[in-house]
Amino acid sequence: MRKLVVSLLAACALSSAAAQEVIVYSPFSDEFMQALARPFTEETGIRVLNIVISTGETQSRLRAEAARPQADFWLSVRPAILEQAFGEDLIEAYEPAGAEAISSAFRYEEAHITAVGTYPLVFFYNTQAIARAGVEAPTSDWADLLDESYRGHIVMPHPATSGTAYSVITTILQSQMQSGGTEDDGWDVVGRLAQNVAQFTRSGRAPQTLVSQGEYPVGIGFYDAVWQLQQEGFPVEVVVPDPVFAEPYGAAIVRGGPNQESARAFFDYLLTPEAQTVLTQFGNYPVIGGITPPAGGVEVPPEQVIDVDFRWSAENRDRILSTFQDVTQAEPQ
Amino acid sequence: MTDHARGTDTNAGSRTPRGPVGPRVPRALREPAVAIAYGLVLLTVALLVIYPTYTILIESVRDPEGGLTLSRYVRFFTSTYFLHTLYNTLLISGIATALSMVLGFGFAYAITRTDLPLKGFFTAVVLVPMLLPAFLIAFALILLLGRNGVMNRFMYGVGEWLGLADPYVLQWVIFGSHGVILAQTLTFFPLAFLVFSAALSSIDPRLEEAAEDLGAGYWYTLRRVTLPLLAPAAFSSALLVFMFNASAFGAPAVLGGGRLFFPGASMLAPEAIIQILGLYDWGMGTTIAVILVVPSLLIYVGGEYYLKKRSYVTVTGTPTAFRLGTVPSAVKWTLFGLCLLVSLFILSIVLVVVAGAFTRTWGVNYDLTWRHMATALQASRSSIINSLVLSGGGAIAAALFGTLAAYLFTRRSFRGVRVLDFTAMLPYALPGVVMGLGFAVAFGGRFEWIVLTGTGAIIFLNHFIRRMPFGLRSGGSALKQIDPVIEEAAADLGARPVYSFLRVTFPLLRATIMGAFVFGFINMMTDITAVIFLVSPRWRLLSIDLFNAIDAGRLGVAAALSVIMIVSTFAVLLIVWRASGRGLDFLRRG
Repeated sequence: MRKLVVSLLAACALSSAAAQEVIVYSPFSDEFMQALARPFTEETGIRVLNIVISTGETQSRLRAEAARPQADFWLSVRPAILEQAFGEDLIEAYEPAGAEAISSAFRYEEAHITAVGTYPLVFFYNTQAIARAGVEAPTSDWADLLDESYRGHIVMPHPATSGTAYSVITTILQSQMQSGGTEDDGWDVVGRLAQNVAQFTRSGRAPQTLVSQGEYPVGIGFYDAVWQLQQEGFPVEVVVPDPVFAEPYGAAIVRGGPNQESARAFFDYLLTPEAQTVLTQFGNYPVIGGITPPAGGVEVPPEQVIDVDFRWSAENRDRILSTFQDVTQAEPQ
Repeated sequence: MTDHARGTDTNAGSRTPRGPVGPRVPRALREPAVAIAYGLVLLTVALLVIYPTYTILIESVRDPEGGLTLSRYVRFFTSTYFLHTLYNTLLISGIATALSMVLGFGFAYAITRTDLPLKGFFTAVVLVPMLLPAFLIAFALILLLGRNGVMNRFMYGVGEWLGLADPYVLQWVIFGSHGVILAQTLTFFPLAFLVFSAALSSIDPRLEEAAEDLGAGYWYTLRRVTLPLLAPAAFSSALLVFMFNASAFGAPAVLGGGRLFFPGASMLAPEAIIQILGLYDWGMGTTIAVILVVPSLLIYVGGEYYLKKRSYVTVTGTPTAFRLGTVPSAVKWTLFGLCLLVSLFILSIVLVVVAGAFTRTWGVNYDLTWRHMATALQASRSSIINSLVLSGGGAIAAALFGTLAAYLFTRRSFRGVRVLDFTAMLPYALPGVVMGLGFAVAFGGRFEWIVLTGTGAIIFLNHFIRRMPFGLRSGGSALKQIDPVIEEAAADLGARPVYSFLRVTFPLLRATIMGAFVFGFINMMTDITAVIFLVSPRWRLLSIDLFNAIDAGRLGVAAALSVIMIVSTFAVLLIVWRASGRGLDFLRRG
């Protein structure tokens, strides 16, 4: 049996050495990944293999595979998660060529955090569904979402399974703390918001879908998915909240992955104008200058953007998740 | 796979006793070929059934420090949330099972006992859901009965036309318990139908005729003669359907949301998947999987035991032609209405998926488009190929191996074989979540000696072992109908067991093997609950791509992938059917 295993492993090793490729874990859809990969593959001959999985699932996989990594690259990860993964030795620090082109607002001191793209965390609503539910369109004020009239009408992801939702929670906590309150004030807001939430979805993208189909009137989530649904013609409108979370997402090279070389090439490529332009075709905003933002995209006033302390978010993640569980008693669906 | 087979062969040989044959060795094993084959079966069962099941059990009671703990079980049974998951599972499965039984019986009765028109049509349509994965049916229900679904759009229009204050009041939105129940009923009632129609056609018509000749009315005969004769079939199919319902993942994942009977909680199988893939809590995930196994095992063992003890065989060799038309016409036409309604609904499910694949934005913009199909074909090309290769290979291996095992267990039997048979059948009863999770843990690097994560082999082996029981069971029952005299004659003429198996028994089992292949192939193509733990960037599968598309709400692409899945499955089946048809013709001529 040992022989069998060894020969199987050898076969795998051989087949991966034969063709140049990079194996990517990312929540990006297949279409997005393929559009992003096409110019890269044409230029370098390196094939991009991807699997669509959420941030939480990727973390699980990377931990489980730490002894024998299966992937090379992790795309679309929050700085807080990168910080945590780096602490766990799951990813490597790498400064891609072209990093100097990144706008100063998106630069990080840490070598293991490099911004790749960004989009704001927004409120969105279905114009038909709010009329039917008899609720007001949300304003940019977070406190408005706590109103009793929204009870059972809001959908958002669950922070344990979705990086998006974790950003929602930390934004609420930090904005309270930055405006002179305590973390407990923040939890009070989270608790009241949770009372209005009808469903905490497993995936960070599910709320956008559910709202676009009119299952719920109001949702909280990232703008890129809303933008894509608007392109499809769904009756969905967007409100940029104040404060708004507009932290960039980054990427990382998996420590000990089978194709380190290709992974570095892919990272370099992501900061080229070519790749950044592909991002905008899927509702993402570029992190380097000179690229036109997504057509018809919302304005994000810089003064509204919250200056998040991602290190605090990373260090307190386990505690925040368990407090969330205690405060809301909600499970991901 | 041939490497694997060869590798296990040699290993197996060293396990079975060699040299002088002592009196303890069963006679069946004195033949080296038979002994080696038994070794192979034993090794396969040990490695692919017992080992993964055992690792799940261990994982669920392992505490982080390395000791043993029951804390997760305590947590499950003391937490309102987890108990609600259990209650949801039992309630929804119970109702869906009852409805499946009613529908299955209605269809079977209408088709076997009445002279209704359109019987051929009903028979064909009732089998359609068996070709569709449960989550695809659930997805189609969204296209039909979601808020933007065609039926609900229509009802809204009706509401407006009637001038109702709230035109939405006429809509029946599919999300929630009722949706899950409807999807699961549609998925599983064909199973009940098959069991009922087999049972109904095997009842000697003279029993019912005798009752009527003695003056019993239609209803009295139905109640006191026909239904009691059906009791064993009803019991066994109810158990089976309940078992499948209880371990279902697709419908609750797609239609459940947080809105089941006990809101906020899901059902057991999706909960196990959320615990593992979402919360990275392997301990809790495996615990839920073990809890899910218990009812399945009880039902499986109970069903086997009950059926062994009770058998109303009324097949007598005399023709069983019924006097069709004795059914009162009120009953007949009620059944007709039911069958027609359900059949049209099933057809509309298929139609709506096809329409969705070529519609620009479902519910918003009904322009025709090829875009989704192009996107799906491009994004999932390798997944389609992987699915076809792994399901095709897995189904061939499962059918052949299952038949071989059936041959051993029936023809070369000895004391203790029943235990082996029971264990080999287990993957049939074990929920997909359990088998998938078991493989992920057992072959995922937790134990250094065998690591298969990230390979196609882990998916292939999982496919193989889960559907091998089809070949084992159908091969077993087919062998019982083949007189051993034929094989004895071959042996008398000097044929060795291998030769006799390959040249005499095997050709006789051709149709059975074909059936096991077809059934296995369809199930492998559509599976998600097991393989969701086993896919990797290099080995993605069509069913998982489809599930992801549904999960992400990309309805057009999801519909396109569904069409691709249905068409490619049918294409393979058609090729196999044509090829085997020609093969059979050739035999006949030869």
